[in-house]
Order: sequence, then C-alpha cells, then structure tokens
Amino acid sequence: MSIAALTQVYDETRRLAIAGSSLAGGDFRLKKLIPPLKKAGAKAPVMGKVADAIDRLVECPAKDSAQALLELSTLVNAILYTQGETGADGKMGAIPTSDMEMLATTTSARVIKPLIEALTTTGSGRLEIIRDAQQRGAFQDLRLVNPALEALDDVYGEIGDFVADEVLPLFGKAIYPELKAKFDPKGRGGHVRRLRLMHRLDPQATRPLVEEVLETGSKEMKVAALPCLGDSKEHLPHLLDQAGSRNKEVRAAALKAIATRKDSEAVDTLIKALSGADLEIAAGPASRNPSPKMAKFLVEDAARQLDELVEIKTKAKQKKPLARFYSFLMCFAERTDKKTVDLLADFFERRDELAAIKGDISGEDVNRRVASSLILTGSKPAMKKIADVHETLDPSLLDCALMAAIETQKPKEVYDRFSPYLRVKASPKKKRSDPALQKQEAIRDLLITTAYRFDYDYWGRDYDYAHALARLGHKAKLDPRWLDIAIETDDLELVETLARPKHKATNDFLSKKFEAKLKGKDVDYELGRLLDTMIQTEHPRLVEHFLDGLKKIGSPRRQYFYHPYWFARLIPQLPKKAAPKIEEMLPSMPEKVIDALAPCVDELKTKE
Amino acid sequence: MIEIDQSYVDAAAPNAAAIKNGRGLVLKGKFVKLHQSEDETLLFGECKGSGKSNYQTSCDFVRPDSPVFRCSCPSRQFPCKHCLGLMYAFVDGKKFTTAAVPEDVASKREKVEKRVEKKKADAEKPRKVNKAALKKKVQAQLDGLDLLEKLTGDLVRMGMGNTSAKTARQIEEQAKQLGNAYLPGAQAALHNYTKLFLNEEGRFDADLAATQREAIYSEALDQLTRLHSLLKQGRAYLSKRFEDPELQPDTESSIAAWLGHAWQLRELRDAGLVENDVELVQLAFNSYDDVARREYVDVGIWMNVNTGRVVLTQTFRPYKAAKYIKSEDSFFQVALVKELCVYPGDVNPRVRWEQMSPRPIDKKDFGRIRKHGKSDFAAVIKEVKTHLKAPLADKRPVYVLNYARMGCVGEEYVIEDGKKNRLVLTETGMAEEPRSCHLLGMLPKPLHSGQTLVARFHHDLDTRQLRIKPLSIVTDSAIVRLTL
Repeated sequence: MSIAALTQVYDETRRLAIAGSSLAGGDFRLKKLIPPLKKAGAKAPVMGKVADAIDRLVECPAKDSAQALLELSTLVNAILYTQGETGADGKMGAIPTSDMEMLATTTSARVIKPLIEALTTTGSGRLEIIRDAQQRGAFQDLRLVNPALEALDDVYGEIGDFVADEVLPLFGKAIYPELKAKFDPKGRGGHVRRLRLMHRLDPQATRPLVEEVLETGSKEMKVAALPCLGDSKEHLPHLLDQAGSRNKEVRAAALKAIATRKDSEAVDTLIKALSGADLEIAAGPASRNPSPKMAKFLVEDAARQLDELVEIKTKAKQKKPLARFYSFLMCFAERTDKKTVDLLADFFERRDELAAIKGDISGEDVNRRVASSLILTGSKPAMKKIADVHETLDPSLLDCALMAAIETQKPKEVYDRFSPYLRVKASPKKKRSDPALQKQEAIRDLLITTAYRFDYDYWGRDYDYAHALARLGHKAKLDPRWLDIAIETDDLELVETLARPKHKATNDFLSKKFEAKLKGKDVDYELGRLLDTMIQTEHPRLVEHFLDGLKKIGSPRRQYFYHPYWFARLIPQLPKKAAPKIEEMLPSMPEKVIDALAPCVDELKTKE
Repeated sequence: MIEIDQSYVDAAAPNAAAIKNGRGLVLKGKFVKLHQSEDETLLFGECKGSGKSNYQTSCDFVRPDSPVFRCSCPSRQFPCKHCLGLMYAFVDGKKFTTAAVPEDVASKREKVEKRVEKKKADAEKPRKVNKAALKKKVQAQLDGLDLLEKLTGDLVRMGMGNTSAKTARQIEEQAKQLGNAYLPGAQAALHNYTKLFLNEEGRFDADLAATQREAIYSEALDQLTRLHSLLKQGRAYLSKRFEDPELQPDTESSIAAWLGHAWQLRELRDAGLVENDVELVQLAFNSYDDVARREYVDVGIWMNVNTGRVVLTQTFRPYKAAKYIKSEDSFFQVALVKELCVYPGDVNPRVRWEQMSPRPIDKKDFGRIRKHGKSDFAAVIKEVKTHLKAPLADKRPVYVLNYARMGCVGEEYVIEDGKKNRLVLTETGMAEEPRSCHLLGMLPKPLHSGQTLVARFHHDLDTRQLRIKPLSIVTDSAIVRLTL
C-alpha cells in the first residue's frame, strides 16, 4: 500500500479543511494524486476508493464541498488509523532506575487529587492541605514526586520552602536528576531551593554546580551556595573571594562559611572584617572560630578596647566606641576557653566603671552582656562568683545572678538566698524607681521565664541573654517553696507558672481566684489561663469550674469571637467524663459558641 | 434492628460539609423529637430549622440494603444534613423513644412497596410505546441532525483557519438547539470541536495564536470527521426508528449513546445485556473535568476477572449539580456484583450495577488479572487498529498487557513481549490523567520485567504513531497505580 501517497492526501485534506472546503474545486495538488492512487487501486481496492473520493471532491460544486471533503477525510483517517507505527527500532537498554524505595500507591484518589492540585495550581488554602498531608504521611507515594518537585517553584514561597525542607527529602537521591535538569544557576526562588536540596541529597555531585553559581549566579544563589562549599581546602579561595563581595548578604554568608576554618587566610579575613564595618556580621562567625590566633586577637583587642574606652573623658566621644565594644562582645558568645572566661570575669569585676557610662547603649547593657556571656561559658567558678555578689548587684544584673545560682547551687540554697527579694512590700509613692521593687520584678521575671510551661518567646531579648536562658531550659530545678511564697504574696502569674499537681494550697488558691473572676461583669481573659493551670494541677473541681466558665461565655452579655476559642482549645485536655456534661450544656448556648466547641468535644470523646 | 455506625453515616454523606453540619445539629440540640418504630426499622424525628415549623425527618431501614431518607426540608442535597444528623444522634446513643410510625411515612412506605411491586410487574409486562410521541421525538432528532449538518458544513466550507473566537461562540450558542432536539450527545460532540479553540484561560475571549492553532488542527479535523460520521450513522439509525417505532435502541453499536440516549438499566436488562455474579477489580481510576459536556466525570477502569474484559464505570456530575452528587473514589477491594448491566458499544464498555458487596483482594485475584493479560502484542495491535478505524470508536481504549521486558530505546520507554514486539510508552495526547511515564524509573527493578501493564492506547494523528500510556502495573501481589 502506498502510504506515502496516503499521507500526502491527508496533508492536502488537512490543508483544505484549514483553508475552507470551498477552495477544493479543481485543486491541482489533489488532482495530481489521483493517477498514482488509481494505479495502486488495482492491488489495494481501498486506494481506488480514495481516488474516487478525491475525484468527487475536486469536481463537486462549492456548496457540496464540505460533505465531499469530510467523506474523503473520514476515509483517509480510517486507513491511517490502521497504519500507526508502534515499535521502536534500536537496542533496548535498561531503564535507569533511582534508589527510590518502592512507595505505596494505595492512597485514594480523593486524597491524591486535591493534593496534586494544591501542589500544582495557585490559590489560597493550599499550604494547609500540603502540611496536613505531610503530617499524615500521605506523601509516601510515588505519584506525588513530580507534583512536589513542581511545587518548588510555587509562587507562594512558603509552599516552596515547606516542600523543599519537609517533603522532597523523603524521596531521597532518586529525585536528584530531575532537580538538576531543571536547575538554572541564574535563577532565584525555586532554583535556590533546588540547589540547597541537591546539596542536602548529594553534596559531592552538587559541588560543580555550587562553584558555577559562585561565579555567575544571582545574589540569592550565592548566599545559598556558600554554606554548601564545606571544609575542603580547595574551596577556600572561593569563599575568601566572596567575603570581599560588594553585597553584604553575600559577605555575611561567606564569613559564616569560613567561621570554623583555622587557615591563616580565613582567620585574617575574619579579623579584618571584625576591625572594619563588618563587625556585626563577623562577630558570630568569629566566636565559633577555633584558631589560637583568633582567640589571642579577640582577648587582646577586647581588653584594649575597654582600656581605651574608660580613658575617654567626654561622654559624646564615648558613645561610638562603647557601641562597638558592645557588638564586639558577641565574639565571645560561643567561646568557652579559659582566656575568655578570665577576660569576661575581669570585665565583670570592672562593672562599676562601665555602669557609669550612659547612652542609647549604656554601660549597663554592656554589663548584662558580659554577665550573660560569662554564664554561657559554663564556667562554674565564674558563675558562682556572680551568684555570690548578688546583694551588691544593680537590679538589672540580679536576674543573671539568680540564673548563675540556679546553675551552680542547690535549689534549697537558691531559695534561701533569693526568696527574700520577693517578700518586699511596695511603697506606693515611689513605685517605679524603688530598687527593691525592681529587684523583686527581676527575680519574678526570671522565675516565670524559666518555669514557663508554654513555649517561651525569646524574641526581643538580647541574643546572649536569650541563649543563657535557653541553656537553663524550662526544667531548671526549683525549690518547692517558691510556689508557697507565690501563693503567700498573692502572685497569680507566678502561681500559674509554678503550679504543680496535687498541691492543695494551689488548688484552693486557683478556685478562689476563678470564682472571683467569674463574678466580674465581663469575661476575663484570666479565666482561660486559670482553667489551663487547673488542667496541669489535675484540679479536683476542674470540670465543675470549666462548666461554670462555659456558662459565663454562653450568656448573651457582651461576647467576643475569641472567648469560645479560649475554652475550645482546652476541651481535649479535660477528663473524658466532661464530654457528656458539656454536650448537655451545648444546646442552650449561642450557635457560634457551639460551632467553636463542637469539634473539640468530638476530639475529647475519641481521646484514648 | 438498625445496624449503622459512624463510618456508615460518614460514607452516606455527599460531602464533608454535610458531615459537619449534620453533627452540628445533634450538638446544638436541634432535634426536638427522636423516635424509632417498634420493629426498629425506622428512625424519625423533628428538627428545628430557621422557619416556624420543624422539619419532619426520617430514615427508613425497612430494606437495609437500600435505606430511604426523607425530610421535609427544601435542601437538594441527598441525604440532607437533617437525615445525617438523625443518624448521628442514633449512633451517638441518644435516646430514641418508641413510637408508632407516622402516618405519612406509613403511607409512603406503602407507596414504596406498591412501587416495588409495580416495578416487578412492569418488568414482566411488555412495555407499551407511545408511538406518536416517539415518532415526534425522532422527527425532532432528525431535524436536529439537519441543523448539525448545516453547522458542520458551514464550519468546513469556512475552514478551520477562519474559526475565530467569535464564530466558536456563535456555534456554541446554536448548539444549544441540539439539546432541545434530544441530541445531547451530538451537542457534546460539537462542543468537543469548539472547545479546541478556547484560549489558555479556557475562554473564547481572544483568538488563538498561530502556533497554538497549528497544534490543534489535526485533532479538530478528526472531530469534524467524527461529526460527519455521527450525522451519517445517526440519520440512518433514526430513519429506521422513524419507520418502525417499535424498534428498540440499537445494542450492537454505541450510536444510541452518541446521539444522547440515556440507557436505563431496565432497557439493558430487556436487551439481555446483563452478566450475573461478576467479580470486578479496579485497575485504575480517573476524575476529570469534561468541558464539552460541562460535567465532571469519574471513570473507574475495571477488569471483570471472570472474563478478563476491561470495563468502565462512569459517574457524570454536571457542573450545576456537582454539589449534590457524590463523587466516586478509587476502590481497592474486589466488587462482587450480582447483576452487572453492560452498555452496548466499545472495547471497554460502560457498566453499571445497583448492588455490590466488597471483599478483600488476595493473591489469587492478582493471578487471575495477570492471566487475562494479553501476551501477544502483535495481535493486540491489530485488534486496536481495527477498532480505531471506526470513526465513532473510543479512540483511547484500555488493554491489559503482559510484558516480558520494559526498557529504554533512546529517550523512549518501551515494553516488549516474548516475541520482541514492542510498544512505545508516552504521555502525549492523554493529558486528562496525571503523568505516569516518569514514574517508571522510580519503580523497583523487578517491575521492569515479566509484569502486567494496564495501558491506554492512543493514535497520534500528526506523528501517526500508535502508543500507550501506562496506567497501572499488576504484580503477583499488588496493583501499582501510576495515575489515580
């Protein structure tokens, strides 16, 4: 069969269908095909039929041309459908396989489809779907690999980050070729995520790409590439090169990447940065640098700076060097060597000299940083020294003293030494400036922070102070009598933080406070917190109080949308027996309250 | 005794919001009365709504396999949140007092019984045809075909190159008349042509760019020839019915469905298109948006493991009613169907059933599927080509193929049978299902030889290649789904 002639006919019919069949009359290109087809028709009659159909088309009047063209096209299509090529010539090789473990493919379409849509389309509410699926383990499915890869470029950056950090690493090295194929070193957003991910999956193979982007990549790409270079000597020139970049973000990334190197070029670069305008971005890396040269420089330079600082007589001239010294102290945030401890201990001794300097950044601030850094070194003798001099300390340093005491002394001792600060009675006249009261506040604040049951937000605190706090952790051992004194001084907030189960005095105190708040005209924010505390203390009257509180927010007096939520989030933590009682109350409550509470009641009911 | 649990009620709900709202009614105490009948077959009660009078809600389990949900509320969702709420209340162990079956329910029950009996009696009775009405309908259909012929003729004379956004929209307007002429199938076929001229946003607002146009012409011409064949075959079929109104819808070909005939199970039964005691295993699933039909379509691809035939279930959810119709989901068990109704038509006929019970799938079932797979590709290819030749045939038939090897030739994925016949795997032209070829490299090595592939055939008109898209791989212990 003359397939070539047939495909020619097909092309001509297609052309005429595009141009319009009314032009088919007398079409010479089609006419030309009639004789060879007729000839072929002798062997294969169907060719003869095609020739006849062409004949009819080119001869018919314009008004019938559509029918004739479609007749011809139907015939040709039908034949061509039987002539489809199927095979593939050549040697068959194995499919390059990845190391991906076979992942389940039995997730139902109702889960998979919305997830694929969330990953590959735009619109709101998608991150929730993706996060939810990740938590339920729904991503353990082959079919989601590609949609997840596509999501790297999502217009909503948070989705891209989430997928890069939490989802794609699940699939392992197998996705590497796909990542590489789409990678653009000059790109941003998704491409930066690709580079980070490729480095995470296979640092060795990614090395050439990293080098490439350091040469030609975008700013974002360079920042991402620098940490990927690692410790090998051959890459040091790249890093040093980028440390001189015109862009601050790139410089910061380069300094961070050379932080732990002992090579003299690296150390010199860091020292140079510390001495110039890049102090802020170099201090962190310098504090992690292990070279003796750096340690020597830091100790000597800091001592020199302080000596020079106290020599300056005019306040205005002190301002700048003080600010610089304050920043420079960050170089000791992660150092624990003896020289650092000695230096900081010396600075701590000179606290009165420093305290005299006032300003936006004051000597007091410097003292706090010194004390915090000293605690961070973990040196027991140094900490003991801070704790021992607590009586002589300014209120702004007292919390550091308590912190040091908790780290080095027995809970009983700490209590005996520091609890008297809490018993101070305020003199109503000079509330703010009373140092005794300021000291009380400092102790309270630290106790609340350390014993805080919830995730404490360190935001807004000094970096090193926050780290010193974090070092102490939430589980600092405190003497049980702190709770007694909190009740005695009627300090609700402190009771709430220190409360522990099966402590009768606490439970009575909480009940008393709760009942008092309940009597108030409006719903008090404290009600929710009190109930929360009662859950922690396994309060015997918890359910009773909860229902009373619920009654209060259900009453039609002034309501805010957030009231029900305070209560709703507590419901799953209540004992199971509370569920029927809450359900019983629900019908009498406003609809909005029920809508907020209903899912939580369900959760409580299904609690194990 | 009514045996339902929470998951039963959840499954009965048409969507997640209905579940939440139904539960909400119970928690809010909206049910003012909760009763059950003495014989414990009926739950009924009253539910407070926004209006003055309460809704009368009942769930009737007198026939547990086909419960009846009734409610006096105006909701179009079925079952409505009140019926769901009533069942949740029951499942939650709320107190249902025994009471006499309400009069209206009793009368409705009677009516149902009568209806069932009548249905049975009707099924035995020969069906009377209102010949005059049928004739009128067929005449309207024939007139509709004349209109379709005119539209198609205009399109072809004008040329596809001159089809602009404006003309496409005009044709869509005129195509509405085909719906009035009882030709929804023909209308959809015409939409299938015009939808090719939609721009990227799915609108007729702007004309397509030249490059985009070039890509669709082959497909558009195929659609036109299809319309032409539909006209020809449709007219022949309808003329015959016009002459002889007693004539039953054609069961040999799919022409009746093409013209838009909605087959009723009874008709299928009458025509003997029924198989008994069938076991079905779902091989793949797909859910897509059919722009031409203005419907969402859920398609299940199943194998009748008794015979090895690959069949399809289709659930159509028109845009307008999508909220009220339950969407289908993939199915991982074996469906035991007492009576399977098979639609007339293609390689993969559509099937439907009224009642089905599931059972867990086991190794033997996978073995049976694999046994039914075709091991001689040459024979399959011949069969597919013969099938594709017919203008109104399903152009994307699904086959189950046993391959000896799966590998690469150049950039392409290929499967090979024992006689070294090859088939090339591709995604092109089959965008409705999620992409699947790229997954082959991620599969473990043992899946690259001696397994069974569920594949969809597609003939590309431009490249003139007949290729397949992999949907699932059946091993002796699992069905590895590559799409949905």
